[in-house]
Amino acid sequence: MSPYLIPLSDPIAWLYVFIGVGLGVIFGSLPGFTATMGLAVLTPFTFWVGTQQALAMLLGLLTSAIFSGGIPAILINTPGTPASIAMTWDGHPLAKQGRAGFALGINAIYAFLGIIASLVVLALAAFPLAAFALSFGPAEYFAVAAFGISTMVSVSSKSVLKGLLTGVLGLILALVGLDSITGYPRFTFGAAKLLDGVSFIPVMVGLFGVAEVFTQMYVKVPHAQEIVVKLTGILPSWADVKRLMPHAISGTLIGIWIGVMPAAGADVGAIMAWGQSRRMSRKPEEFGHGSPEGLVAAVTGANAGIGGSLVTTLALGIPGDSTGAVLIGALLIHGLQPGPLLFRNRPEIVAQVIALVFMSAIITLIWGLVGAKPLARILKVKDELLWGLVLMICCVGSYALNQSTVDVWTAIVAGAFGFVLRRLDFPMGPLVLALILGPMAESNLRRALTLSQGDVSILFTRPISLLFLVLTAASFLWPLITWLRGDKEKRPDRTAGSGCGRVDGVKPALRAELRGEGNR
Amino acid sequence: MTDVPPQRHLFNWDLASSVVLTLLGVAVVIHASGFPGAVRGVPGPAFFPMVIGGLLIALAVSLAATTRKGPRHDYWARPGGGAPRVVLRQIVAILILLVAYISLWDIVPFLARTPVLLVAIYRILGETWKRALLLAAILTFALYAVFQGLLSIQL
Repeated sequence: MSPYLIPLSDPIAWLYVFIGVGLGVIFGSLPGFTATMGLAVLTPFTFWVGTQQALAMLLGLLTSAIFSGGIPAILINTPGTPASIAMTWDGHPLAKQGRAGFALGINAIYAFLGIIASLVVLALAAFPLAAFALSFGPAEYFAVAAFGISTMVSVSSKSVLKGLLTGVLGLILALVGLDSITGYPRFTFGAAKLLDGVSFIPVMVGLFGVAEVFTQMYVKVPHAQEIVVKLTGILPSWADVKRLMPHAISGTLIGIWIGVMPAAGADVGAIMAWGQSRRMSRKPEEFGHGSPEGLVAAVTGANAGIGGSLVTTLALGIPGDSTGAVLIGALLIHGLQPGPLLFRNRPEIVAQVIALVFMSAIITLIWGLVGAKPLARILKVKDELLWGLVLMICCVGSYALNQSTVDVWTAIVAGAFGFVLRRLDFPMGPLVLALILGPMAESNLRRALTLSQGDVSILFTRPISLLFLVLTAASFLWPLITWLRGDKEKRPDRTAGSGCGRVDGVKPALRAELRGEGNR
Repeated sequence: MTDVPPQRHLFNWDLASSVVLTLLGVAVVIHASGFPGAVRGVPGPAFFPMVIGGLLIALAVSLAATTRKGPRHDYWARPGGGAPRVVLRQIVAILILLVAYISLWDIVPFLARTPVLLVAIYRILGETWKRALLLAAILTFALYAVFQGLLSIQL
């Protein structure tokens, strides 16, 4: 077998994918727990296994978490992850009509189809994009990094100003340690342990693990008491398949497109796909009342974003959202720097990523079709039991990275700060984006200026660099423009279906909490 | 988060945040002013920290300016209702326990300190003694088996 497709024939790889999918089902199914949190908590573990096994677990978790978020959305009208908010709109009404099995079947089958379609796009688009990016010099890399950082505006769902502030905090954290160009120690205050900089993984574990547990304790998502478990008629009929096909295609295309766009995640993809599907439907009045078309659109829109977001994450090293940022951090601890050089020097890794997501999609499909009843039972697990476990894993996992308690302190301090910042509506996504992209932006800017002997025009005279800088400026200025135009109130609300949806039964406060962080 | 009209009794968290962040920005700029500067137009180690520190100050001041106009938010209101103080006490108690746990990391063995922490956490979260003890025993053993047994990490 081709070395690029080794995981497909490797039982160990299947085993690790299975473990990752299992964890993803848990993190995705339980309301409040997200794919980002799961990835952050799992990453320290992966340091101790091989690269392929690590990727298998992480991608398995990522792939299944979004699908699994649809299960509580359908059964108890509470989205498991922000990406599954749109699935409550038609999924739960279907369950109330006695068609819970059918809705879960649609969730499993069309999630699979959406993921597979997005993988095709990943395979076709990522390699040419990476090949194109190989011609980039420091000026282009600076511009790309600046554009990536500018997307922090988009991930700041509640307050752009606060998003920018947490982004700047991330940039400051990224400054700690030896200067990458001159080796000058910055913000180390004489502490030798800070010379290598602030350890990225413990910060992520703190922000998305510890802080998440505290936030859940504070918000206390209502727990499922009565769950519909009469699950029959899971497979759609051939007539259903034909009727749902256009909506699946439309949802998949929108999901892929949104996934490719930096900072627009699966929740946006699902909501936009649902809205578009309603517009093209002959029976738009059924949307929100148990329309299978609406559910298919939401499911494909959310899941097709997986491959789409991996395009920019892998080819350019720009994380699409918090999940992408955590994934990049996980790759970094395995010595893999996402970007065009990864495609040139380690193309087998990229091929393995595609193969592993494919394997994850297959296992997720099987889970979804034959494991519907056990999956429903996961919803009965008390959150309190998992909080203690997650806190312990955060501590032990952070320690395991370097066998240093400094990392555990970092995780706990980041968790405490993260909790307070989240209560005050400071989003965490920009901080992580800036922490990853800040060093890339700084080092490449200084390299570019060294090459041009201090002439800043190098940034504006090269077309690709200029293009990304214009996009960066547009990204930063767009909120200001909309504010000046006086349509601030019309800004699309991600959780409200772009103004075209309804969110039956999902408590507004819960939606606000869910949308506040990450988008998966 | 709940929007409420300006009220004197409601603490202005946005203003407090902006003050803290402004001070942080000033500290960054002052500290970075001691780093080597530009050489022949090429920025040195001081360039980025100075820019970022300045940006932080500007954004924090903007935040302070916006808080004067809009309504104050009750960031600590719990969506489902209920007293925030009770759950905040629980969170602080767990944080203190975690701090103690890390402080004892190199002194008390894993198998002794971890079950104690877990029992305490589960009791704070409202579990019964029996359940807390059982969970602590199971989780401690599982973590030990995975990290020490499987991954050979000295805990």
